[in-house]
Amino acid sequence: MRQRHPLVLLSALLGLTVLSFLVSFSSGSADLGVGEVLAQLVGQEPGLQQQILFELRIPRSFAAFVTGALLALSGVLMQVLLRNPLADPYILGISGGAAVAALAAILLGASAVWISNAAFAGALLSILIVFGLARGNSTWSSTRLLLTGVVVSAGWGALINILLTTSANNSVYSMLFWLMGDLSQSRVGWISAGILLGGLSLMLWQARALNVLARGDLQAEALGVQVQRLKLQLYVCTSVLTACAVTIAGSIGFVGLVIPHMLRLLGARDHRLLIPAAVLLGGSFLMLADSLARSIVAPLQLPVGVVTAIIGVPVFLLILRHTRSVRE
Amino acid sequence: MSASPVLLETRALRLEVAGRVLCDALSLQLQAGECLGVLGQNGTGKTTLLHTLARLRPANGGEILLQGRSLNAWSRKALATQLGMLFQSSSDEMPASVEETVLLGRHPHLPDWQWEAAQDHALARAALEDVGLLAMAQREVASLSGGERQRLALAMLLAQQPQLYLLDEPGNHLDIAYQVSALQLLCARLPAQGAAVCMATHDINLAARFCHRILLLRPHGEPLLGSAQDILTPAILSEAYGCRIGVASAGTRQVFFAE
Repeated sequence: MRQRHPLVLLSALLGLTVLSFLVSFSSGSADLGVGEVLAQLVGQEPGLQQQILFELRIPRSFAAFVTGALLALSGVLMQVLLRNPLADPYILGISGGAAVAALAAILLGASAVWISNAAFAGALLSILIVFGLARGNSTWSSTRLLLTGVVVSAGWGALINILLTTSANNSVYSMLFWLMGDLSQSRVGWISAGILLGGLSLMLWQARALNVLARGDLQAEALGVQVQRLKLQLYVCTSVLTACAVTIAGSIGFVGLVIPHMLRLLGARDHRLLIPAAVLLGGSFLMLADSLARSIVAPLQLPVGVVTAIIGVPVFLLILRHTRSVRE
Repeated sequence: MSASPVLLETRALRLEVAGRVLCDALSLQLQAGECLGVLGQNGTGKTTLLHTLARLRPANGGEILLQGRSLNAWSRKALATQLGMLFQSSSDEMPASVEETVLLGRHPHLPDWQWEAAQDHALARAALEDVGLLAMAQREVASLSGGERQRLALAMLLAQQPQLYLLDEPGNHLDIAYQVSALQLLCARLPAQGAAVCMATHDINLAARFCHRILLLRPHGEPLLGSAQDILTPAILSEAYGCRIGVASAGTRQVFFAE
């Protein structure tokens, strides 16, 4: 009943991605419609419009796309790793570690670049702590990893609260923006794009093994999957993807949780389809959310994390309701 | 029978769980076409033995050979084309359809980057038909009953087409009709495929019906290995299970029961 050709879904998502780029290019406080955007893209005419498009809008749209794609891909991987469809990229405390470091950098008055660097370092620190503690003696189970991650995450939460309550008012404002996820300062370089492509290709290569892994460690091993090695790859991959996303834009919620779910509901449970689909839909979703964040209260901007949550919460609840009625 | 090639061999196999010795020097050979039953009280190590034979845990001593080659020398993927296992329980947290799940049995046979070919789909459908689930191919695994899930796991194993089938409680969740038909189906194919079955079960009557030989694990002392007629006697079983076990004749069959 849900058997559609995989290419149908992927082409639809590709179309959506192109559309989202155009919407994203043409939204913001300056008046620059789709027509003008297309005209500028075809033949560049020097002027203010060109400057806005190429120096502000396009870099920001790409940042939104890459971040959304990183988060959605990371969510898919985290859900297989923990064999829990409710896992999200932040569940193991990666964003917590990044947040503590970024907030500390804000407190010290660091520039945007150093806030990003601090966030990345914090994320790496958290990855290593969780990995070291969960690994224990040689093998690690999903439950142990999840428990360790959740506890470490709670620890970071406490530190975040300490930083927020003891900081001066003006830095608290930037801290809150960072915590809610914000793309206004975001630019992506080749490194982030490379990490996205690298993670995508590695996991596409392992996609069929991920389908098997979803049936349990022992069953996967019996079907010829080297489970410990694959889980290590998954952990490293999902961690680096998340760390990268957090570094670009702070902790943007719901993308990593909702996108994989929506796709599974659309019939993309095979990871060979789910993984590329998540990259496209995650990227498009965040670009559209960012376009809203820029235009709802223009010329002011909302943190994009607020918009993803406002869209994400009802969508997620609807999905849960829908899946329940399908199952029953 | 003696002319059949040896599929699996253990030499002086030693198994321990949490410091307790389950067996110290188990040596057995499993030939193509044969069905070996592993019986024993709860906690005597039936599952541990099967997991060791499937290289899901290391042996604590001794050696295991699959087709004359040390088990550890096989790559994980090549091993999975020769040796398949039916587990006591499966995990169904992630959503999947029945058909998608059966196709996973083809994983070890497919190279990287390759999608299942028409032949793999045909094998998967045949396996579903064998266990009577073909009509449910598009259903969600989560919507299946316990017995249907067990048949699905069996279908996945059939699609895997190993030479050695390790079955851990194959009768779990199955009604009496499916218990018999599932094993009949499997055992009937063994000689033609040159395959063998090693099944752990708590159901003595199922073992008596299908197994040529029995390995009886005992709480104290070394395991007993012998033909089904020799091992399945009230005296030996009563000692091994720690309760009085009787036997009654029903036509040509013997039926075991706890007194």
